[in-house]
Amino acid sequence: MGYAVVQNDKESGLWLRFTNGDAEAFAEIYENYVGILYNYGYHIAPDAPLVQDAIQELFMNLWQTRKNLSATTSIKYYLFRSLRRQIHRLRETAERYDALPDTDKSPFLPYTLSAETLRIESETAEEQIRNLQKALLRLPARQIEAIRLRFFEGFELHEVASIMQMNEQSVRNLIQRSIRKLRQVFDFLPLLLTFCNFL
Amino acid sequence: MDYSTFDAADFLLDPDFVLWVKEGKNDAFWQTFRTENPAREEALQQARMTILAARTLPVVPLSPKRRMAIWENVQQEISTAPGPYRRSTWQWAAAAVVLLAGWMGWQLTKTENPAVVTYEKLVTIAETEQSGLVEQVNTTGKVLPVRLPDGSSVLLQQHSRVSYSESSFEGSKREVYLSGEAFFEVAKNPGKPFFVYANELVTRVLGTSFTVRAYPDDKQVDVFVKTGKVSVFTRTTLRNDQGPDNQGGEGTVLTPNQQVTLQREGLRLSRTLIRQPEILVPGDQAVSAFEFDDELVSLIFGKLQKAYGVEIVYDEELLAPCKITASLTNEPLYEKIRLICQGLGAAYEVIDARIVIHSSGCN
Repeated sequence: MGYAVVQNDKESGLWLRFTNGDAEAFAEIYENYVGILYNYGYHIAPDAPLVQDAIQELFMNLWQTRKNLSATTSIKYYLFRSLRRQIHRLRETAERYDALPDTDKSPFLPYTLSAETLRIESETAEEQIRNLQKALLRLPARQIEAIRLRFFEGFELHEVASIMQMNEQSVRNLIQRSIRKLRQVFDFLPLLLTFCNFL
Repeated sequence: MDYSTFDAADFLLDPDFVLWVKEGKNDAFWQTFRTENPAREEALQQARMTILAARTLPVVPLSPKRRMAIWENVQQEISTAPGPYRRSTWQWAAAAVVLLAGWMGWQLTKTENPAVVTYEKLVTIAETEQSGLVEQVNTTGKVLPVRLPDGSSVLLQQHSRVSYSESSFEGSKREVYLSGEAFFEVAKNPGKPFFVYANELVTRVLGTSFTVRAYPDDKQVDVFVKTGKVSVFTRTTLRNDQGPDNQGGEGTVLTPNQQVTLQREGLRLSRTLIRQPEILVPGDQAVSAFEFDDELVSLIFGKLQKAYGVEIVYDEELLAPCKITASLTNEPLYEKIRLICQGLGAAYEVIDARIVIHSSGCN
């Protein structure tokens, strides 16, 4: 997913056209963001129909309330924040009926990595990265979510905090805790990249 | 900022450090820091690798089917609730009465326009010329697959119909009449061109796959090309230059990821790129991976042109020195282009099925 996402004037122009009722701008916003929204949504709730419902609701509400929306320079930030709320709302309703798994448990099947397999697999820089990714995906849900929003989606810390509805210090703590967990992986990784592949 | 006491978490939380890892910003500073602070190297590497790993986490792809389904559901909802506020039931009833009255009035005043070509007209003409016309109508709630006598296949959308004569398939050309929307996968047979007649639009192919959308009450007819080459004509040009019959006129030629739209009023044909261009050979990693580390923009554009079969127009001289670091593998084409443009401080537009980059060089 592209990470060269920065706030820009074109975004606010598109948003302005949309809030003025331009259906084409609305379609453009959908086309631009539905893919990354789905990816993000699926990672916080690995339930395709639920994520689909949430995205539908999000865009329906967006259109219906467009006249009351304020100007924004980051549509992506706005959409991510709304989607997360929407998913949690839908999930709460669903949980009353069929008790979905708890939010704080990682949605991913934790595959165990022994120190030995790590050592064997860490032959190339690419494999090192892949091993780290496996470790990342085994982090507690909120930690990986913060990491994903900050480094994968490219949001600033204060934006991550607002999307996750917590304060910035708590986000910092989440990221700090996650790298402490990853340190166990680093202990097995020879730092191959250090001198040969670095920049 | 004093980085000399930083641990991995501190680096990870420092915006300038992140910018260096992601975009190479302030590289000279960081390289100096590294040589002067060998004790920080391990922490720095751990933070750097964590960012690199997080940046390329696997993506859960949204299938085109679901992408479309979500959009359609949203459209359905907002077309029944156009205003910013939901209306109450009685308001809806009133609106429905007004609409119905309007529709009845329109039906009464509607007169037959001779320039308008409909499926019914086409089929009536075909029946006088060919025998054994077969019609398939999709009244199911799903897409209906139809197999044609030559092995070609048609995926017929709901409320759509297709007609063809068995005898036409044995002659010198294969002819099909369509009302509504269908995806065609045409069996290759260079000796026997394949024609789709849909309202005023005629599509001619030899062997390829494409979608035709021609609903009776729509103001336009669209053709979207998935593979191969497709020629599109209006019925008038077809008659005037005898194009497809003697292989003379080429009409408008479309290649993959292009679409043509016919405005039925005025019979104006316009070519553009489809909304969501796809990679031509999706499985091929060499073609479909778009990870660039400080790469020349011209090379990136070249790769995109090849992968999507689209033409990208830009000032080669002006962009010659520009380099970009980007991770774009899972982005749709337009998002890739948008992100590259963002990096370049450029803008783009789609003109006549080509992507035109407007840039004043790199900053």
